[in-house]
Amino acid sequence: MIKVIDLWKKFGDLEVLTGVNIEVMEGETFVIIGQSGTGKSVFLKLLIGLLKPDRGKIYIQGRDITELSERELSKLRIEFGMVFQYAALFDSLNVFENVAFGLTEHTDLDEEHITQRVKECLKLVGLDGIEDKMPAELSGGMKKRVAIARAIALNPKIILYDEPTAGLDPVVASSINKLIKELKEKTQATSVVVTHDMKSAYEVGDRIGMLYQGKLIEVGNPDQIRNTQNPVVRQFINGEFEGPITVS
Amino acid sequence: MIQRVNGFFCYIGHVVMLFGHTIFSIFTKKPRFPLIYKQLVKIGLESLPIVFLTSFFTGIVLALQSAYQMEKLSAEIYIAALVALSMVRELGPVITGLVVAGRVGASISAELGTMKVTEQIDALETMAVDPVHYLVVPRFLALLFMLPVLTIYANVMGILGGFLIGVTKLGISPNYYIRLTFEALTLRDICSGFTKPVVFAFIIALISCQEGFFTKGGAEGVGRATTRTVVNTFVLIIVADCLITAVYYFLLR
Repeated sequence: MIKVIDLWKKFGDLEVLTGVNIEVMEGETFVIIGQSGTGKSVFLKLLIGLLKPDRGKIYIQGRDITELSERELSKLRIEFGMVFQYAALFDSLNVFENVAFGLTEHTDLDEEHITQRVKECLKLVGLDGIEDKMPAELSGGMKKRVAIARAIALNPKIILYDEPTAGLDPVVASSINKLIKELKEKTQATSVVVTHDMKSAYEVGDRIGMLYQGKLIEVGNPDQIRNTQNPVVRQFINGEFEGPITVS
Repeated sequence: MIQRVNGFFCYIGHVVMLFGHTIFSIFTKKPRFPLIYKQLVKIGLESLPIVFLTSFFTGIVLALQSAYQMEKLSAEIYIAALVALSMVRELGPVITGLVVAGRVGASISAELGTMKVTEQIDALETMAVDPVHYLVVPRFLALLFMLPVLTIYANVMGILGGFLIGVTKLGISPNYYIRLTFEALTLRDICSGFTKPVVFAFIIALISCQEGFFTKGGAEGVGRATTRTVVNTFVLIIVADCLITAVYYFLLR
């Protein structure tokens, strides 16, 4: 489904990714963990073509997206849903319009069917009757849920989550994790989740990979990661101050 | 120094690319009429009070200040022509351009800048929507249509301000004042007065959208982008005004 080969990206003199290789299977949820600033969000933006890599290949359903024109990329993006770290809901549109945005842009559905689909998506994320509210009136957790509803409205084959639990209290964070798992069952979509929240990583991930100094240094299922002998991964998952990872 | 020159040319390059992308979108994609209508109201209708205030009072001040001098020469009747020519050729377009740059340009770059730093522009792209077509084109078209309309309105209001002083303070009859106003205006004045708002609309739309799209660094970045928009558009409007006036004076006489 997603295959990344030798991916490199730098900004100015700062090397962010230095040869990342990943393969994500269809229907799998792959979690990328790592410290803040290690390039996790950059990786997601490369996957969806918002950024161009300096080197390397990204195959989505067998097509190398680094070779695609902007128009072809745009078509391909319809098959993606992306949930941003701070939800990125459109301020000027209400909840209904936000969720309906992709449907009105890319389908010929009439108003009745769009309304039905929006209600369906909002129900799926556990939000009913808030269609008329503006994003500024919602709590952090509600914004994330609306963002997820917007991301799934077009039935995407791939969903990308950028720090889905960042800034949420533990209870709301758990509800978002539960939602991601439920959506996986219901939509069968392939997901890539970027997070530094280990509880979330263990809960939602089929496999977890740790990004460190521009490379994926360890990949495994949640149990393998829990029991890893790699000192860098151990320090990170246990949240220890002492160890090979230094805080600058 | 080299870095600054390089930065300047990069900036110009980005503005030119944005202009090219905007024109391409206008001619190749379906127009988004509801968004254009929303911007027409926001840019045009909502600017009417401030444009009225500035141009009407400019007309009054212009008439009063010149009356002060003209009275000494008993040449008060020339005030009608002076106000009309000053407003149509110069003050109407420039005042409207500066007011709209301050009010609308700043608001556009703040709005797009906030969308940029909160990843809403990235969200548009991930949803396969071209941000230039969705955000820039409606603002560009609305400015291109509304700035000349607001300039006509400013010219009329300025002349009305002068008329008020001419008729009430200087004792010129209303009909005579109106006749003097129309006699003074030539086609060249009107053309020059219309070229300016069109050029100013390009400047305001492109600079404010460019600044918004390239905003970095949260709330502080939005503030910086807004300030840069106001400063750059003001400077460019003044420079463009000077160039257009010179072109009409030296080349199109």
